[in-house]
Amino acid sequence: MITLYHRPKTRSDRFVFLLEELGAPYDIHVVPTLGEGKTDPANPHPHAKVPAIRDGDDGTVVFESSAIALYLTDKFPHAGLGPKVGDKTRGAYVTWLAYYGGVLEPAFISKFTNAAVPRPMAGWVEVEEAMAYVIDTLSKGPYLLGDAFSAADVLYGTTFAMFGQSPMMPKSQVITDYAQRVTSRPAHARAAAKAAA
Amino acid sequence: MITLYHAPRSRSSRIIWLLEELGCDYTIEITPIKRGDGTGEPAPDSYKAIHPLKKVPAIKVFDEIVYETPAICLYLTDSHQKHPMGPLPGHNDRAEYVRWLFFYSANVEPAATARFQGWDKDPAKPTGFGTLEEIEGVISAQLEKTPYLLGENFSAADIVYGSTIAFFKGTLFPARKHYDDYVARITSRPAYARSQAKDNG
Repeated sequence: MITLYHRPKTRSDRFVFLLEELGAPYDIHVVPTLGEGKTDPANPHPHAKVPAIRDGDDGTVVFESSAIALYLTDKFPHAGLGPKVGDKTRGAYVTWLAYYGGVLEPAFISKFTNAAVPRPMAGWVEVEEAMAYVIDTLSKGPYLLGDAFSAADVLYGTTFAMFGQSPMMPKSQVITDYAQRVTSRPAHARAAAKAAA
Repeated sequence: MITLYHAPRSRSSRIIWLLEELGCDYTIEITPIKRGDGTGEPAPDSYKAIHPLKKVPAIKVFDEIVYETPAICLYLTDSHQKHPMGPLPGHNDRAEYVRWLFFYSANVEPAATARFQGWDKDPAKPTGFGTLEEIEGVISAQLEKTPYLLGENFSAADIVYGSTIAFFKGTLFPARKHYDDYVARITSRPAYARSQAKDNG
């Protein structure tokens, strides 16, 4: 049993989506928002953020969205949501997961806080440059890895569904269609019902 | 055969170290980059076929391309299953391994950059990355307890964090005895010395 430490309407929503896609046994532990000035000692995240998971098989704790996605798809390989080691798209899969936390999120936050990215020094770039590569990839196939949907699409698709219309984002029909494709999956609807609870 | 796209004395230097630890067969392709101090020229546009943001490190394995440091570490250690440089799925340390790798690029690097740029001066305006003190505290707490991030076993995560701590200790990170000991411990490895000798290509 996987326990997801979750706060509705946050970055942990998409892990309800991923767990639904995986068909994995899980329960949801709702933790209070940080703004309420309290933390839940049950949440194993060192900064009291979400998402975090605890694997009941051995008490393993994982946090960081990309790490959770990789841990879960490797743990439940039969769901086919992440290429296995040795598969041809494994390299692209781990690259897209790392690009999410290391490039795309910092790019969005820099834009949001109006901070100019020191391009040569920083490990990331401005949103426009980061998104150009995403858009280029999604112009060539329905998903980041081509024809196969993966946990990387859970991260990117839900992000674009939430922020696609933001003035921070470059306007792109490719991104709009992709977000629609990802969030029209039945597991997304099941997750939405459970994540809000 | 693995090709590493590398700029001397940059974030790609530590991938040479990892390749040496793993005993991989590889070649180094020296790649120009624009550096943080304003020197250097960016790679030609043809390099975008390897790395869309023209950064290093990136690796090519047959026709597969991998970039982003955590991705490269995972890809390489997962592909060398006999080697104890990275616990595999199912191993007790797997979660911690994956977590440390992604925590590096999603938290440590952005928070360090925020501090360097002075973005985090106003406590009422959070940077969104977590404070450098919080993040450094997580790293310090672990290394105070155990010789390596995963406990008793050296892993690719130590290459990433060790090189970062060596760079930041006494400046962005506080000077700490256990940081000095940690850096000394990991840089005394023969593979580190070999990687330094190959850094210029």
